[in-house]
Amino acid sequence: MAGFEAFVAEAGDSLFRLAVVLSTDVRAGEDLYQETLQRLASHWATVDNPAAWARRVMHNLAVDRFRSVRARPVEVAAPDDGAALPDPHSSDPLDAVEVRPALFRALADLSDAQRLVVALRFLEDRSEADVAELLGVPVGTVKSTTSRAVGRLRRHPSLTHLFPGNEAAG
Amino acid sequence: MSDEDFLRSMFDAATRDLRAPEVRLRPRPTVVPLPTRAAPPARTWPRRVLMGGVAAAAGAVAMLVAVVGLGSGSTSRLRPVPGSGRPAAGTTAVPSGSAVLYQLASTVRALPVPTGRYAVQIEQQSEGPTSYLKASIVDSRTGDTWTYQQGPGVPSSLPMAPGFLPSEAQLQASDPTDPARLRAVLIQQASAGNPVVAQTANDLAVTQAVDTLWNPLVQPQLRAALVSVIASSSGVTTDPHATDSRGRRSIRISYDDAGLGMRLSLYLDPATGRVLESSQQPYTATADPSLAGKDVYMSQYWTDKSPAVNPLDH
Repeated sequence: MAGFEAFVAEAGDSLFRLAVVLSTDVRAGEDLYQETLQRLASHWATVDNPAAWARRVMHNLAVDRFRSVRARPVEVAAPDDGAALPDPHSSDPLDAVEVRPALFRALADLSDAQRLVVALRFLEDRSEADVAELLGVPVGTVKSTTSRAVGRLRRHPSLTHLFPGNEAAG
Repeated sequence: MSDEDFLRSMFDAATRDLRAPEVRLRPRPTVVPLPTRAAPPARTWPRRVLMGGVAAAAGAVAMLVAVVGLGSGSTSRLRPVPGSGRPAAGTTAVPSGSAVLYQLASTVRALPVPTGRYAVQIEQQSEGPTSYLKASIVDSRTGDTWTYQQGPGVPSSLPMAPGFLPSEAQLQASDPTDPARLRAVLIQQASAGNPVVAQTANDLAVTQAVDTLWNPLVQPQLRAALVSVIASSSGVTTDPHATDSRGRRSIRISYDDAGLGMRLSLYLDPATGRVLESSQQPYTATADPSLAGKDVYMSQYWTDKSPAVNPLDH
């Protein structure tokens, strides 16, 4: 299992961030991260590409969990007004705490596939071809999914005034 | 700044303070929570769903063919007698499959309660081409579980998992031995995790009963009740003259979980009702092949020996 431990040391943080984003909740992301690595450890001897395998399994687990809680309201702080919303371009380290609820609120309104593709594209900064290979879908599917997801995020009430060119609307 | 660049900066700002927590590996359970349910509580009931890799898919096809082959001839389809735990009064023609299971329940109910503090279970777990031996030692008083393993790619032992299973006392408190009441409890247990796949009450009762039967802490009275619940459910196929993959004489129970697209197969010891072998294989194209797998139970016994002693060393 030495290889497993090395993999976790190298990829743990990025996998954890993906888990949090797919869950749109830090605590649920911790559970998702643990469950994903639990499964990876169980299959370690047979997994050729642990990074891809973990992401696919994490997505499947996240979809199941996300659907199960979808009926409940998303537990994020509601912004009071536009002035209270975060500036993602600021270097203030507190921004992570401020930005997260708005982003997660918007992500929660995407489809499962859109949420995954957006996370892989913009959280992990993967190319469209890389995402397509990882998910086993055509590049065109990644492109169209990304385009629709970005459009929805751009119009989402939590984010719309933060997008470039939309600031005045906030 | 483009929308895409903006989103990159947004994701970075929202996640850059996140650091992965320490990984807490627990023993791979013989059964794991259904992937179709919300994150289970720490003390959830185990589920009869095996974790398997993508590599298990090829093996699953072969197993599926084998199961289908076994499913013909001597098998019989059980007629539903919901919640009764026994054949309905006045029934003139009890299906032979359920009769076999009711007889098994009767046999098991008369068995003595074993003595010893620790239940030891040695099994071979298979996922596609990979398999390994696993010994689980469960403290009946606490549910604490020690795990030893032999095989490629698995550590020889895992840290003790506190309260990994419900203790014997918790089992007795939660699970009545009256089949009709037990059926209701099983459905309630299976429903507790916010199921997202449309499973019927019958599905939930059967799968939860199957999930529970393997537990080494289940005593004869409860095991008999679990068998009765399965016997009273619809959609269960029974082969009273089966043999498991080790050639042991068995009563085979099969059940198709339509919600998961998985076929559960369980081989029971006709003398004790203990599980000799269990498998789960996809039977629809949409089923998740990573859930396929097979467990063969080599032996099970009770002891007062320290869990620090590795049973696989002997």
